[in-house]
Amino acid sequence: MLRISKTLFALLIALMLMAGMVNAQEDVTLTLWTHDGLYVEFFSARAEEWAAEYHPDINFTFDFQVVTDVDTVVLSNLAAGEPLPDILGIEQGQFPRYMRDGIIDQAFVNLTDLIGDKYDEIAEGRWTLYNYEGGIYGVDSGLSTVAYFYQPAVLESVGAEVPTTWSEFLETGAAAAEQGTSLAFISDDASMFQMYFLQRGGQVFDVDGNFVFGEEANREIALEVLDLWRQGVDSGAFETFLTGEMWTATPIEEYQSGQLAGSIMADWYGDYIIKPQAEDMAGEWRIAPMPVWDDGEGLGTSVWGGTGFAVSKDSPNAELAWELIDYGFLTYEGQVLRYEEIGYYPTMISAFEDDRVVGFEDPFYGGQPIGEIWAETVTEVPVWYQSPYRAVWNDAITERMPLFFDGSMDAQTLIDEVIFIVEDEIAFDS
Amino acid sequence: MASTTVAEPIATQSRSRFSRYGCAPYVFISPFFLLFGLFFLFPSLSALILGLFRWNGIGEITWVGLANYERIFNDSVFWQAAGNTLTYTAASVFIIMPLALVLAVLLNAKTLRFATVWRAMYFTPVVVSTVATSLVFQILLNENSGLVNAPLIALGFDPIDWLGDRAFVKTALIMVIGWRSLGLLTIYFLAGLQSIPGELYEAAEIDGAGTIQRFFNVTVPLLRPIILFVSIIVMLQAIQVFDEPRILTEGGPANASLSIVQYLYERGFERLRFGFASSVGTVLFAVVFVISFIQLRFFGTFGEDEGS
Amino acid sequence: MRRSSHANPLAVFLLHVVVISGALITVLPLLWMAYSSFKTTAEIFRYPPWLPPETWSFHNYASLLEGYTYDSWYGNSLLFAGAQTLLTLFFCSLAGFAFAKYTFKGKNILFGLLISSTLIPFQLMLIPLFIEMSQIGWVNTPYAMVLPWVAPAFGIFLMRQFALAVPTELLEAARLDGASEFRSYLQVVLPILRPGLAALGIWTFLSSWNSYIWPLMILRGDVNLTLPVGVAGMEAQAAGSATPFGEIMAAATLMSVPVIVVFVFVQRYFIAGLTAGAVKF
Repeated sequence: MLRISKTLFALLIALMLMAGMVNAQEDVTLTLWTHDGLYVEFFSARAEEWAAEYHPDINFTFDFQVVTDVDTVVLSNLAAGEPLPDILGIEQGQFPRYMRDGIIDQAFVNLTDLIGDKYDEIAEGRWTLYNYEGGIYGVDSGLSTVAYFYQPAVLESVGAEVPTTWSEFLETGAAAAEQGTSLAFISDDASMFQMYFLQRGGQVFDVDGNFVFGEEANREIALEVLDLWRQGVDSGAFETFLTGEMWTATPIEEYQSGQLAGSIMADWYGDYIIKPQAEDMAGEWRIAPMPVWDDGEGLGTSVWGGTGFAVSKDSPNAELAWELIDYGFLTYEGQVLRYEEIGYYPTMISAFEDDRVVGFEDPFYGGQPIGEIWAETVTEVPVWYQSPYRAVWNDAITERMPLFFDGSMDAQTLIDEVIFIVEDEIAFDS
Repeated sequence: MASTTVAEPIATQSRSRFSRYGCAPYVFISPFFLLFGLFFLFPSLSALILGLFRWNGIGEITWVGLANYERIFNDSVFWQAAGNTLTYTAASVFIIMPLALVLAVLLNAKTLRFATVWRAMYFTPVVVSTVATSLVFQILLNENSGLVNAPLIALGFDPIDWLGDRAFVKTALIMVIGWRSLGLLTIYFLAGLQSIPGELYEAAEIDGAGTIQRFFNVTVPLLRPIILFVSIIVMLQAIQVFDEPRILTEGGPANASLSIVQYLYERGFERLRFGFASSVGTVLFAVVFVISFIQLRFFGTFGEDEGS
Repeated sequence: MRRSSHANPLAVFLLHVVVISGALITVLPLLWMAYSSFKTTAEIFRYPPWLPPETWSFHNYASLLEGYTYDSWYGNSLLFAGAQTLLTLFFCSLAGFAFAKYTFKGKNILFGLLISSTLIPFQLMLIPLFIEMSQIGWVNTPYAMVLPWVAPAFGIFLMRQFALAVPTELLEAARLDGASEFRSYLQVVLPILRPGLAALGIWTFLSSWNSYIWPLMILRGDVNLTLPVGVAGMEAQAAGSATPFGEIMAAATLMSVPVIVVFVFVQRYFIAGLTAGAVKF
């Protein structure tokens, strides 16, 4: 009898202890959606460290996912009152969809105060991308600045030097084209035009989201860029790709055959386009700064890309979600690890001097310390602004660029039509 | 379950027929119509009404009257998409459909051996997902390494940029659409051909009609109802083309392949103009309705064929 | 009938050449899909394209099953397509029978409504239907995947065409025997509808198996997806980086082979069924 009661007592104690433990451990599920698996990889690794270090008392479940056509899914969820993930990675090109009628502010947390002083530690252009009416709603994932990726052997075979200015580019390019090699490609993707346009100092929208592409200064810059393109396309210095062909295997084939010497693209282009498709080209690539305008106007680089991580307003774990983003993207160590693990360049200016970044010698680039090239221009990353009408501007550019390339539309007409279409769309809403 | 009404004598005439089944027919059609109404009519009608509003799908909804419709007709992209869709439709009706008819006649030839094998081969693309086939055509139509261009390159010609050249992109898409739909149309025609009595051909042959003459004097007139049926199906499919241009070209270059349903989808889901997109859908519905009505009115009837 | 007895041998030869080469061209893209599934992505985009892979192996299939939840997509696709098929057959045959064999008030109006409804582009009702699903609480459930699609107007037309062939005398006889109308449907009508049911069943199964936009909107979470959404996602996920075309071709091949094989066996019913409607149109 005594033994039985003893056993029961022990069992009771054990149960109480277990219950106590469960009570002490709070259960939290954090969800994250994005379009790019590398972010899932990165945040999964950070989340484990972060939870162990800062929240040992919470029993976390991390449900981080790549969602196909994630923005359409999120926006339809909003329409239907379905739940959002705690953390959402919004690709910068999709951000304007959320700006429409202030959806971003209705559904996501204004992060401005949470970012606080860290604002100044990050290249400013990486913040303005996710700016809506003065508030910041996303933390960007990488620098996305632009350089010239090239194959020295191909340039050499056509007797070309790496161009440092656009006039050199046109000159060298024309000579190389006569021997069947283009120096770089351009495409009908509006982001491509925007990349050149921003480097020259143009703005499509201003800080308040007004459409300023039609203003005289910006019109002038757009014409200058199109003139550069016209000359480059006519001489063959630029090759042109349409309807997403630049994302297919075609450029890779042309790099390999020497038909294309390289490309002027953002930092991610090497790791995510060239490397995986052409492992056999290791050692054959180098990076040089983007050519600059001869008159010294404009910037030393440009920008294309980025994904801003936002926090859902309805999330019961919004504070934890922000903490994780902060831990992963806004700490010095997180910035370096992001570069080491998934190859996205730091956005924090100080992190550029870290040996693991600047000292990294990638055998794909023949051991060139490519971090130096990116670091050189980090302070010149263009600052630019979004608008819900950016998609309209994008479409208007993309729809006309093939006509410009093949000579059936001149630059003046293209720009005038684009201005008309965007202004007309804005008028339709007001 | 349905009706327990005791059957009345057959002698009862049609006037009282209804009471014989009781409410059976209504019970039989009600599950269908319940679902149809809930999940088809109701959302469709909501969309038609939505065309009179401005709505981003999330925020408040604002009455704008006919402003959306006005905007459609002033939007040059709409007209481009309408023109492209018309091209797809015309190509489907005037190229793909006649091709299917000729193919059906060939497959129906008495001298053809293993006809079922060939028939099955022509039909296969119909059962395969457009997602899968569009991905394959990305490979086949690749400018430098695609199988379609390979003979050109081998013979020393410049390869054609099927999906990137405004002059060729519609042709490329029509090929893909034709490839997908030819088999189904052929099957319809084959069935029609098999219902034509052989004696008619014999009679025509005795009268000295050649193969071509027999085709135009016997086959085509007798197939008229089928041709009408198929032409409506073809038109409906072509007007609603979406998957191929969306996956293969995103409507480009310079909107040269953008279809009208793609325009609707992108204006709605990408620009968050659901009211506007709904008004596009309403216009599309009206156009399709009128064309089908004319087709039926002038080329056939949709009569009751009970007991035929 | 035996026109072949005096057929011109040259014409017969040409007929075979034309028909067979056309048939080969038609299946070529599908064979190419299977062929490409054995190549690496680099090999797929190499000129000349007909060169075989350096090593024949199932590496794309292995990494497909390893790196993606492909088996779940397969199971989900089977489940949704199966459920949709069974329900569609029941609702459509019942209503199609009523339209063919009964006279009732409002019949013509209802039938006209069905005909007009086939002219509505599906994308039009996408948003309202999605919101409806959400109001009911069906997002990311099998109900939303299946129930909105089990009452297609096409199914009614098809079933009505087949039911027209049911001899009215048989129904009258059953009534005389005291059978209820539903019993007649089960015992007299359904057996006669069999070829039509086969056709509609295959048609429904295929349209569910291949559907893309709706599951894209309704389903959440990698393991809950269907094949087309999952496979298209393999490309979308890679946006901006190298698209894994080798694995995608393996995925496309695996999702196409069973439907092609099944189709080869049941094509007789399918074709007979689809065309029955057309012939009597």
